[in-house]
Formats: sequence, C-alpha cells, structure tokens
Amino acid sequence: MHMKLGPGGAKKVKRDKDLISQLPDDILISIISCLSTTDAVRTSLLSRRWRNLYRFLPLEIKLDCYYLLKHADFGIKTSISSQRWRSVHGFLSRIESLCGNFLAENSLHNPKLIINSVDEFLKLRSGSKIHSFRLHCCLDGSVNDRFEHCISSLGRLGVEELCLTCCCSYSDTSDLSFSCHLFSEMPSLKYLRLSKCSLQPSSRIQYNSLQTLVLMFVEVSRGAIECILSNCLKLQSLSINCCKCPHKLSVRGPHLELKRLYIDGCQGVGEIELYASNLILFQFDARKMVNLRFDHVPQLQSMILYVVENIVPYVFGRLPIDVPHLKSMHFVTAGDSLQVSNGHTGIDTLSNLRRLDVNMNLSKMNLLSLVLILRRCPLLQEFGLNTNGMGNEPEVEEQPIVFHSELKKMEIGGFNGTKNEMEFALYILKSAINLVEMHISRCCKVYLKSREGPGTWISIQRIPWSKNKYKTIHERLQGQAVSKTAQVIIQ
Amino acid sequence: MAAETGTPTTLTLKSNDDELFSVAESAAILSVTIRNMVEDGCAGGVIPLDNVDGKTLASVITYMNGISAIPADEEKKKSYRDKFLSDKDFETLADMVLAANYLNMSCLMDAVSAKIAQVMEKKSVGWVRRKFGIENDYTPEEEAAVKEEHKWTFEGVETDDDN
Repeated sequence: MHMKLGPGGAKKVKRDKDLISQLPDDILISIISCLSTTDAVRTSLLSRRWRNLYRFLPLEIKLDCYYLLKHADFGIKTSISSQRWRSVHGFLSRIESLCGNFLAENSLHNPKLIINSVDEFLKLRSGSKIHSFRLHCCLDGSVNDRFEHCISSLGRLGVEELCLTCCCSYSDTSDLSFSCHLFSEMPSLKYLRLSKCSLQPSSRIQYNSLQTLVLMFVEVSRGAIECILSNCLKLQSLSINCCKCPHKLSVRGPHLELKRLYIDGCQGVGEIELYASNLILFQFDARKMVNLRFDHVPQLQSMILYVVENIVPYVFGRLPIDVPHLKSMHFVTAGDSLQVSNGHTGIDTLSNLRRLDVNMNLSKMNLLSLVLILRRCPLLQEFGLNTNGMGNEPEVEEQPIVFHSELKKMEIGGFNGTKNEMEFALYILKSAINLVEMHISRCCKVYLKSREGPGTWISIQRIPWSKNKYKTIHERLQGQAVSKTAQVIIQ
Repeated sequence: MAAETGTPTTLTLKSNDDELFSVAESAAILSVTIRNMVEDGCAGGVIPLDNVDGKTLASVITYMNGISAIPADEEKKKSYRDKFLSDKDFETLADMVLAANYLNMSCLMDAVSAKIAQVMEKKSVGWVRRKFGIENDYTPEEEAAVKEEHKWTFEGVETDDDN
C-alpha cells in the first residue's frame, strides 16, 4: 500500500506499511468484534500484535461431533489405548491419504474422544470469555465426570447461553445425566437448552442466574423440576418439550418469578399443579387432557391448549372456575359437539376474556353451537375461528339471537361457504351490535407454537372459492350487519 | 442561549493543522467529546481538536451534517452511512476511525469498524496479511503453536493459499 502524508499531516500517526496494526487496541477490538467468532479468533495468527486481541470479545461457539474430531487428532492419539485400536490406527495412518477421514468417521461418535476434545478446546480458551456455547454431539453416561468438569470450565469462562444436545442421532437419546448442581457451576448462565439426556435433582444446587430453561427429549427425574424451581430464583421461562416426566409435575413455590410455562408433548404427565404467583402464560399440548390444578395463579392472562380430544367441556366447565381472570384463550379441539350446558350464568363464565381463538380440526360440529360459548364470554372483543376439514354438521335447533355488545372483531378462517358457516357468520353480523370488522377468508390460520416464546400465526392456502361462490358469499353477507360501523372483508 | 432565541448555535472546530470549521451545534454534539465541552461551557470560542487533521475533520463534519439531517429512521441512517463510507480507501477509513474514537462518536466508529471488518471476512490469514501489509513476526514455532490452538477456525475460509 502506498502511503502518503495527508495535507499538513504533521501530527499524524506514524505511518509505514502496516497501518492497521498501529491502530489502538480498542479500535482493533471494535473491528474484530464485527467479525464472526471464527474469523475474529483467526486474526490472532496475523502477528504478535494480534495474538490476544480476540480474548476481549465474548465468543460464540458451536461444536459438533464431526467438527470436534476432525480437528482433534490429539484426542485420537491420547485416548486410543487398546492394542487393537493402536494397530488399526497405525495401519490407517499409513493409508490415510487414500482413505481420507475414515478413522475420524469411524470414531466420530465416540463419547470419550469427544469429551476429551471439548475439554482440550475449553482449556485453550482459558482467559477468554465465552458468551454462548452450543454443543451438539454424542456423549453418554460413561463420561459423566469429564462432562461435569467441562461444565465447570464453561462456568469459569463466564458462559451465558448454553445449548447442549447430547446425542447426534435423531431417534436416540443419551444416558448422560445432567445434575441440577451444575447450575451453580455456571453462575452467569442465563439461558440453557438441554436436549437428549436425563435431568437429576441435587441438594447441592446454589446461587445461579438462570432465566430461561428449555428441556427437549429429556428424561426428567422425579423432583428435578421442583429442585430447579426452588433454587433457580430468577427463572422466568420454563419449557418442557417431548420429555419423559414423572406423573405429577409440581410448579410450585412461594415466590416464583416464573412468567411463562410451556409443556408440550410430554410422556407420563398425569397431573400438573400450579402455584405460581407471577405466571402470565401457560401453554399445554398433549394427546389427552391431564388433571390441571390451578392452586394460585393470580396473574395468569393467557392460555393456549392443544389437546387432541374434545376439551370444550373443560374449557367452559372447570376452567372458568379455576382461572376466572383469564384474558386470552386459544384452544384447538377436535370434538364433535360442544356440549356446553345451556342456561348457566354467573360463576362459570370467563368474564374477563377479551380474545378467544378456536381452531377446529375434522370436527362435525354445528357452528351455531359456538353461540353458547360466546355467551360464556360476556366481555369478548375479538374472536378468531379457524375451521379445518369440517364434516357434515348435524342439525341443531336455531339459536335465539343474544346481543354481544363487546365483540368488535370476528375472523373466520378456512371458510368454505357452507350453509352452516353462512348461518354462523350471519348470526354474528346480527348479534354483535358494535362490530367493527368481520374478516372472512378462505385461508386457514394455524398457530405455530414456539418452544420458548410467543408463537406465530401462519396462513395455509386453500383452493380458492369459485367466482360464483365468492359472489354468493358476498351477496349473502354484505349489508347484513346490525352495527353501523361494521366492515365485512371477504378474501 | 442562542437556541432559546431560535437561531441555531454554530460551533467553530479547529483541526490539529489549524484549519477552522463551522458546524451547527445540533450536529456537532453527535460527538460525545464535543457535547461534554459544550455542556462544560468550553465552547465559547474555538474548540481545538488536537488529534484530528483538517482533511479528516472535514469528512467527519460532512457525516455529522448528513446524519443529523435524517430524522429518527435507523434504516435511512444506515443507508446514508453505507453510502458515505462506500468510496473511502483504507487510509481514510483508518483516519476516520481514529477520529471517531477520539471524538467519541459510537455510530461512526461502529460503521467504520464494520466496513474494515468486511474486508477480512472469511479470508485466510495470508490474504489479510498481504491486504493490510501486516508483517508476520511470529517465529515458526510460535506460529505453529497458535495455529494448533485455533485450527478450528480454518473452516469456510475463502482464499486458502498459504493460511
């Protein structure tokens, strides 16, 4: 690079060829902090000047079996002890140029080699800060001690986010056990995602700053959740997905910070007990309904229930008694009939509910029976209904019109334009006296749950209506609204 | 004071090679260093900036005026910054980042750092050395040791000639 003095540049930084290395440390660190972790760490090879700069960056590291063993011949050299392996190794090194990575492939999922390699890797990082660490590789119970040692190292490196998947195979899981005392080995850990191992309670658990815990395909031992809840005092979000759980899960504590709880597709759960004074959101997904005990959930506002069987009797039977203050409710049901007993008022209404979303799958229900649900939600403002594969609805006696004065917004997705659907839409238009918007769409909206945060709604495209159908729907529904402000949008 | 009467206050900045620049106070206080001087009441006369030369200061002032004219819209600000830096050579960028550091202008500092980093992205060690004229002062043994330590970083490198 040709260097020239700037105009009048008397007091410029002394310039020779290597201009960049003359920049002060904080600027160089600012520059390499814009790079990916691997690019940033690689700058340490440039020259002595750059040797330790990357250590000032919080590192984000991702490792898997393939990666660890490909770069870890030291692991292979030190760990293969049996004579047979040594001779195999010797043979293979001789023909390595021909066989490429055969050895590495062969021992790719060997837990001992992997844990050595992880350990070695962490040793070399001492002095740096690892902000986030993702490990996706095969570990098993035989390396438990070494594993705990690695966790302690990560704790010393100040890890804040940790994602551990202890088995590479899609269908298998690992018998590695993660003991709750490891939380106290990582005092700065805020986020942990643990996958494919078992979780054990411990009496040695101490101070930690864990805020979010996600368990996936984990075998949850009896007492483990309780141990976490009573010791991780900053925990805000707990997500238990596809795990094997004890029969009873007790989410209970006098001063739980927990705000969001997700229990999704878990085996073995028969009873969930909730005593959580700060809980705001509860999402539950299972094939069958379990015994949900809401002992104390004064802040609970939103519930999402995905249960394959018909849960309408529960939602409008038991639930209003347990959680009368619920503000938003979303449930998916597959039931044939709503079986909401008519005529009840008072205690079993969801009298605070503002938003209701119902997705009906393969249901043969008459939509007009939803009117009974509406009556249980006197303050409902927004109602989203999505139908998916509705069968032939049985006859139901005509519902007398009851005014729903709070309902402002009605959305119907998956609208086929059947006689029953039209009747329901007309009923809403005539009964919601303050309706602002009715949205009718051929697309069906489906809620995509998230394991860690709020989910998202996605639209599923369906074969569009024929021109005639569109015209018919239009003609039947436009101008039918009682409310002067109502807008009917048909898509 | 002048702000109260409605006329925008103008500051005079002096570079280390004695060039004088007028700039609206509202734009100049993007620099925390200048803002502190203004708040401490040192902005009465001329503000001397001992670590910035005239050419660089002119450029920084162009940036200050340009970015402060954009209302709070991060997208637009970003595209202004990208355009502003697009035709600058490395020497100018180095001067800019030094000035931004001295003037404590984090938005400019971050933008220039990112621009310089962009050049190094996914490049081999050898390529970066040649590009920036960095002299390798490691002994072969030292270099081997550092390499050993960081061999996990050699994946996905673009120009893979001598590493």
